[in-house]
Amino acid sequence: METIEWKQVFQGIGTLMDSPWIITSARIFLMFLGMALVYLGRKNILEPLLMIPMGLGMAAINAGIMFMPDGTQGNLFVDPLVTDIDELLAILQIDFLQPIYTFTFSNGLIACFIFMGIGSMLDIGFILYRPFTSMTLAMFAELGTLATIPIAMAMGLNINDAASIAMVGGADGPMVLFTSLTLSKDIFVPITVVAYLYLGLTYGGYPYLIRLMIPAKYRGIKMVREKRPVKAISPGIKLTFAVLLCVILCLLFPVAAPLFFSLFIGIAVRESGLKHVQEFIEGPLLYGSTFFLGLLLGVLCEAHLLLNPKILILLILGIIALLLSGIGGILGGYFMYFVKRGNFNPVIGIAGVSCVPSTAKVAQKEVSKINPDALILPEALGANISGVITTAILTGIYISLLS
Amino acid sequence: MDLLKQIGIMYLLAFAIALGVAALIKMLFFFFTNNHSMRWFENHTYQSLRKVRQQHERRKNENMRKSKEFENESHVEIIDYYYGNN
Repeated sequence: METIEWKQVFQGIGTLMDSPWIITSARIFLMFLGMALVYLGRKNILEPLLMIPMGLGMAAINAGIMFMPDGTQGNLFVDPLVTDIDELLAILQIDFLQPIYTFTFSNGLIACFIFMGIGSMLDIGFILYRPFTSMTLAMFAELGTLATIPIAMAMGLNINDAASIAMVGGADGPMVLFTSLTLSKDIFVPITVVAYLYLGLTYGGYPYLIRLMIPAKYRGIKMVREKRPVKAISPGIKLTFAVLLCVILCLLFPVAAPLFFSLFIGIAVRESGLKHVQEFIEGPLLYGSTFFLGLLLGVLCEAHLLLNPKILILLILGIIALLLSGIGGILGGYFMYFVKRGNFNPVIGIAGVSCVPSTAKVAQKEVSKINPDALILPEALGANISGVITTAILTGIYISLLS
Repeated sequence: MDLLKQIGIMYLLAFAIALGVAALIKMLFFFFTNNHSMRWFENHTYQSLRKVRQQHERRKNENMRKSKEFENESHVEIIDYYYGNN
């Protein structure tokens, strides 16, 4: 009997032993990181909906590397770098996640599906009541989206890569995916992974930023609302608004039109009372897309792909972008506090960072801790939804001017 | 310096568009929730539609009347032709 080639029998271990030490250690690290993400998702420290499929995908892809027939190392999950059409057709029949990657991820369809889901859950009534305040706060909270660009360029990135990583400051996953797919094809995988990892962290990190920048006496401000009765906004008005705004924004930025359309079709479905369609979009479509996005992001975290020399820079820049946006949002809150002569809670500013609805919930939670009677959620949600619109506007500007 | 200028322009552009969107929202909100403007809207849509419909009805009635007159007259002529009126 011939001697058994154990490396060929247990190829996952065999490839670990055959790889350069840096790849081996990165694979082992990513396996443990994946397991840690599942744990943190299960404990609700990070967003479980995204982190559990992502973590497991990350662990599995780095464990499941094998020897391919041509002698190289590969996997049976997905090959994101394939560009040749014949090769792609062959791989579509072999790698089980390749069809989802090719037909939904790499063309931005999955981002659009998620945007439809977000749109169908947005009540734009919150911004219809106070549009100028909401939009101003949202623009302040875009500080990270802009200020990160020169920092990134100073760290050696070109302007396209800098703009893509700066979009993390907008705190909107689909926008980062869309921008990096258009502007930075080579490093869109690490940028998107960094973005989604950090978006899970905003929920945990922003409360500390609020406590650091806003003294307790300002955090507990209870706003006095106008005495006159609030005018009712009918679904017809909201629908009219959604249709007009969609057309205008598509007219201004055709390159970001798929994203605008997806967001506003979600709002239109909600406001036109198409109950069954709305249930489909905000249920199976949104949750299904988020699940597969998490899964794909996880399997894209393969050591060979992630060992890009830029990854450390991207990790630093991502956190800088989110931090600057948070700071900008709070500065916007202070600005409105002075404009409204003290009748405004500056904590609302952080909700301008468009991580719907996490940042609005964080803001209300922090205020309630100091003053349980102070209700800021309607204003915070207005700023939150405006944040989505301003991030989409900046996406349009970046793609139009830089691509 | 050029980069900062470019970023400044992009920010101002985004801010201007955001404020434009806010102005549009304000306008729509004012228009659709203000009694006076709603009355103007109704006057210029429903009432003009009503006017068009009334004109249409009037024209239809007129046509019917004319065709009845014609029918009656033609009957008289046919009777006159066959049976004579003398």
